[in-house]
Amino acid sequence: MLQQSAAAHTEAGISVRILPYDVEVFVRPGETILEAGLRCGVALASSCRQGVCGTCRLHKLSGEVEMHQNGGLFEDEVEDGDILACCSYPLTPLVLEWA
Amino acid sequence: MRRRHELCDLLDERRPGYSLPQPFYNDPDIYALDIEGVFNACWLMIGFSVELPKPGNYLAMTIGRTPVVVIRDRAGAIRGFFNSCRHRGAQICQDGTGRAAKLVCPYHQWTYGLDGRLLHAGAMPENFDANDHPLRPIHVEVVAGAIYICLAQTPPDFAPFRRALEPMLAPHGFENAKLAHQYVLVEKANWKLVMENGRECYHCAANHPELGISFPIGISANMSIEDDTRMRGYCQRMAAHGLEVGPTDGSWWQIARFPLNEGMISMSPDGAPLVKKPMLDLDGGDTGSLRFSIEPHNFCHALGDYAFMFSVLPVGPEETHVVAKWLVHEDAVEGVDYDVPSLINTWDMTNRQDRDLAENNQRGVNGLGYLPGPYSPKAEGLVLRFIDWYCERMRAHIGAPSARIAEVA
Repeated sequence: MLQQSAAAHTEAGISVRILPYDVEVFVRPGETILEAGLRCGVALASSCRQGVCGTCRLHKLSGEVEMHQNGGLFEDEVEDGDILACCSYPLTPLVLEWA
Repeated sequence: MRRRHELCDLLDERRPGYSLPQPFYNDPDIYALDIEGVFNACWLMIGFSVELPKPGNYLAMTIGRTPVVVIRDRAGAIRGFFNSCRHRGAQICQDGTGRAAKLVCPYHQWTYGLDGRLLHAGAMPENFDANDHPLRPIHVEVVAGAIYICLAQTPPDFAPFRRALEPMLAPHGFENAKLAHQYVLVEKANWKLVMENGRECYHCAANHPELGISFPIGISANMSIEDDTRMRGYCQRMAAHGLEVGPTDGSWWQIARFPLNEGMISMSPDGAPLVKKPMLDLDGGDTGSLRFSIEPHNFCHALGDYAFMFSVLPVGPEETHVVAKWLVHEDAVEGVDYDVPSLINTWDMTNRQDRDLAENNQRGVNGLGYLPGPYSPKAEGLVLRFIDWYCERMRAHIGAPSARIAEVA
């Protein structure tokens, strides 16, 4: 069981847990969640990497991100917690779910 | 592919007023020509605008062998596309319903806007122009909440049908309705046998005792009632409400409002309304039924309290899908104002009885003993009309002279 702690905000980056794999990656400054996930060997699907195709969609269970999507999600989907990993940067530790 | 002149010979072989020669009901080559000449060429009814409540909601289905998708775009308009990627043709949306901000091919993620424009295609060369590869549109018309599509490049003229249907259907409030239930019934019968059965009520008294409680199943040419006095009273009452009765028709469509059996308000097990919140709030829902239908494949009944759609999609020479949908007022609460088992009871029972009849018909028609038989002009007028329409459509498709002209000549 991973611990959600103050230590999650470390020099190594911000902690992002991805379910159902139950892996934790540390996203470095300037790195997208997708880039960090792939760097750490997490099996995340992606394609356009510019927030259009929606292939890297994840659902946010907790935390805040800064996202620069280009129409891959509807606004109401964003409000419901969906994010695109290719164009999202964590602002706080996150728990995400691969649907 | 069966040569066209062979089809022409078979069409010539058909005796006027009689059912079709056997190959029309089971031959794979004729089935393929049916898809080409009928389902790829005519207007088809696929559902209701309320099934696509938000931008991105889509309805995907296969017409013959052609996947199509109908979607509400970001501006709120309903559009349709061939559901094949412009890359290597893969089907984009799986058949069924869903919601997508972009239409994304699951193969290589070519990504299209809801207007069909190609927005992303990875790894293509510099001289690749996305503008040359939009999704191919299909024709879509929405009439008072009913969605019609046509796969043909040049569809039949839709305007006369719209002019006739729109004012008659609008009072039923399909735009303020919701889909209460739907299903697909698989029938092991040629689509024309399914339709012939759906175009007459000669079989109703013996086979649909439940429907017969409310539905005027007496022998009549147009599924209406024979009692002139009652019909006059009904017409006056509808006129007072500003509801047109018709009947009105064109070569490929028919529209008529008609009263149910005496004392019956809805098509239900006892004739009583099934939904407390009516779609057409007049005379306690006692407005009879607005029947509207199109060749080749559909009929609908819009009652005071609910609406029912029956559309046929052929899937093989001897297999057909019947798509059945029930609409109720959007504010009707399930479990409070209506319950689904009661709502669908009458038409569900009727559909299953009709499936058995069509499959039984197919078995007999497949036999060595089958010979085309005569339709009853009195009780099977709409069947005759459907089959005559079909023969003319197929003649036009293969470029054969019209039988009507030939008879006159």
